[in-house]
Amino acid sequence: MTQFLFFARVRERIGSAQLDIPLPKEVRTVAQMLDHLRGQGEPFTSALAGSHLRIAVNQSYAQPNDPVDDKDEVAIFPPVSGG
Amino acid sequence: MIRIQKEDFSIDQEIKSLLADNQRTGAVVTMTGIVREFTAHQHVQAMELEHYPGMTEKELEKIATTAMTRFSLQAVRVVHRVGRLTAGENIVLVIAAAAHRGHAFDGCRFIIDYLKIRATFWKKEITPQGEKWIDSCPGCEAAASQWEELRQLPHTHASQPNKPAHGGHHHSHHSHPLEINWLGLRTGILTLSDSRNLHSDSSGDILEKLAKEAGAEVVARHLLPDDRAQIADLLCHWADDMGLDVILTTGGTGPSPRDVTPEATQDVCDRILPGIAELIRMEGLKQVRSAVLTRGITALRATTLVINLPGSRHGASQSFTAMADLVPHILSMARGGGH
Repeated sequence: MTQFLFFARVRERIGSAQLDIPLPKEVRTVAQMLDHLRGQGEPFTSALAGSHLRIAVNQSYAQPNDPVDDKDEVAIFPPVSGG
Repeated sequence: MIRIQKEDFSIDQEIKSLLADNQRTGAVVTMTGIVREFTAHQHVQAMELEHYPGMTEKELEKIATTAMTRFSLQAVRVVHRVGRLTAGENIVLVIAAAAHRGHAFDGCRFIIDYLKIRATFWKKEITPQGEKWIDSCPGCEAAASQWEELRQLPHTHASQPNKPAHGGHHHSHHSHPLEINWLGLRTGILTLSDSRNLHSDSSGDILEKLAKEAGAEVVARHLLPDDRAQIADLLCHWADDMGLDVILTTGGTGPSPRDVTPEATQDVCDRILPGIAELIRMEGLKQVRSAVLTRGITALRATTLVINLPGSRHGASQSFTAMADLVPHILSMARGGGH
């Protein structure tokens, strides 16, 4: 199971801050993981629509081609707005 | 070095405790962020701040450590508050201590510039009209990217032996184009044409492609007829309500009486940057003599940069390339940043 964390607007749209979701074997990268989640129907499809999302794998920013597997902590959030 | 907390902080106490072990410090620079009561249009009663425990601390550690090395800082402290904060309250404190003021100023600014684009905090504004997530930070990517630009300069000069040296100072001004870095800039593309539709808008398509390749987020795309009031209205909406950083227009800049894009732009902008439009015409002139007939202007509406580009696909893409490297710098200065 991959542990997913959601923050801010994404958390509100998903309706929870944390979910454990199994990822199929063929999902190996951040981009594939996002496509997979978007294909799971609502609330994922609309909560994860658009290209402005930021992804962190194990608490470091990740790029679309970075690897993910089922032991990772994956966070999905909008652009940050602190300070 | 890093603290995330609900409670307020005292700047005096933080400086005292930071300096307790640093007898060689000659300068301390602090930056305090405060909840503003008014944003562009709204009365803000409070903010809700959330963060990603674990990652936030890691990101801030990386930024602080980089700043310590790069600016020879002796000590750094970052205190960031979370939870519900009302107008006028402190949000964030950055302290940089160094032997001399130059390093302390640069280090402090470097830390807050990178905190704004990397540290995992999110703000929600609470106003009488309801709640609103703030999920963009106009100009922040540009502000942070300046630090990268400065670092690249000596290398750029070294690779151009025919250029006269600029005295080796890292603030020297460059006259040759640098890499185009529009990372995170919220960009709108507006096509003005009486005859085209969005499916045949090849000039808008090429601008969208170029902006995305430069790292921009193209968040708005529209096509309007050559109607001065409609154009002005949409520019206002994109600048004020959507908070776009850059608006590229294509079309409606010629001498025909139907061409009103420069007039509509002038109607809603407060400051004109003639040099950018001159640069665009100068580059165009190298290709075709009629390029000087484009009447496009480049202007700021508050901190949104509006750039009129010609209507042809080739003219639009060539004009974009002529000026795009300067855009992050313009935005940073328009928002009060230095060179």
